[in-house]
Amino acid sequence: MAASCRSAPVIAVSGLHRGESPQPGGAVIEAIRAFWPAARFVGISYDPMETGLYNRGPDHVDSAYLFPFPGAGADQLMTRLLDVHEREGLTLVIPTLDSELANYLAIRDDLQAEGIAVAIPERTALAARSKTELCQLGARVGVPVPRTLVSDSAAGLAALAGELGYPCYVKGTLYDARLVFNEAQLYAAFNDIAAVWGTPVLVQEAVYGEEYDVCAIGDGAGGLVASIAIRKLMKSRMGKGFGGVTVNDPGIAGIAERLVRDLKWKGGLEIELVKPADRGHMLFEINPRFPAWVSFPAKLGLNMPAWVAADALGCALPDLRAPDAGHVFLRHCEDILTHIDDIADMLIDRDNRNLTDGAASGLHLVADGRS
Amino acid sequence: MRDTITGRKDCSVDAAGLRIHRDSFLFDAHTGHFFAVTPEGVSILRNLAAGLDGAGIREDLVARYGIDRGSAMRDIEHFRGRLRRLGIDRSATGG
Repeated sequence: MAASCRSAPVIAVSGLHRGESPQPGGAVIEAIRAFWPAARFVGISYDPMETGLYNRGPDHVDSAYLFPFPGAGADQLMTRLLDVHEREGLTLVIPTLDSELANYLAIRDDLQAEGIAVAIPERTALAARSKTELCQLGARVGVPVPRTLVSDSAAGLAALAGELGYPCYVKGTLYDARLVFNEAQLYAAFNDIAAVWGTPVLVQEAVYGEEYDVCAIGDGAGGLVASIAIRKLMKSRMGKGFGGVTVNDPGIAGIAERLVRDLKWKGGLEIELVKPADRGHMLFEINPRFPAWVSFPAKLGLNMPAWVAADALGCALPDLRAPDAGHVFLRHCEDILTHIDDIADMLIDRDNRNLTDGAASGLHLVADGRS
Repeated sequence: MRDTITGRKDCSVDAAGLRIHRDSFLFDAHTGHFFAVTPEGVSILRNLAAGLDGAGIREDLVARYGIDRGSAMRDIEHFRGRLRRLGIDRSATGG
């Protein structure tokens, strides 16, 4: 079904890097563009080295702007967004990074007053699935969660790890998870994670088993609009899923349904499950945004990013058809060509509005005869 | 029916969520695990899915491969034990 909104939307999307730890923005853009070919995509970037700024594939952005890091706060985000809005006429923002959500929640009403919709979950739902609250959530919906404890200090975390036993995971509240086998490794992991993501830092019981991922969308009233589960077939060194096969397990579907109902989740989310050999599925993590593989089910008829975008804009919703079990995605890395001048332009101007014309492509490199 | 994306034949999955491809490859749609499987194993799986009891499966193996009943029974028990350990024998687990 084609989108029926009269004018093509202008959608700002973040999370454009598709490297070793791929972010979801490119997959979100690719999926929405497949449904809405006339849509214009504006990249929200935090780093001129983000690969999505220079890619010319179906996940490309039409223009891009450098933004202050989320740590700069909501006011700076609002200022920059209004600046971009003046030039681009934004209709929708889809943040795809966990670290951005607090700022967007703070300015959502102001953005809506400017005519810009924002596709983000509600504040209470976001808090209820946080790593520190996951055990309580799991207890409410009947899904076991690996035991997780929290501390603001390395010494405190080491004491808690002693209770859990080694090996265990050291995790930031937003990002990063390190498997540690002794106290020395725990201190190093704590220092690394606290330096980047702050405290508290979590220590979590290590559970081994098959890893499953669910991508789902909720309607905000407790209803599960759609979901798809995969078993991870390949993982990167960082534990990221680089390949997966769709499965059809009623047990996993039931977990997704109960979680979305309890959270009254609005929009997309990723549920990470671990299935130890001798036990049922355990809830490892809930990420408050689409996974980086979300374009995979979209190509099979389950275009969840398009549904979220259309819903946020009040447009006709796409039909959603869940693929059956056995479909496989395998991530295939390729090189993106650009020129140092393009990176320099991005750094100097803090935007690049002519990406569609190939200004940031390998064409530039060839035309100049440089290598 | 062919899938429009992959061009693959839309193989049916039986009630237990198992799919057999070219009589040599077994995919468990519930768990996402997959296995190489022998033709004899495929015969047993198909007979289990059809609801045959142990005696029925044994007689089918005897007729199909010309082996004696004792060997057939031993092979069936061995194979079903593997299925149980792998979590595939839904008739044994009630799944």
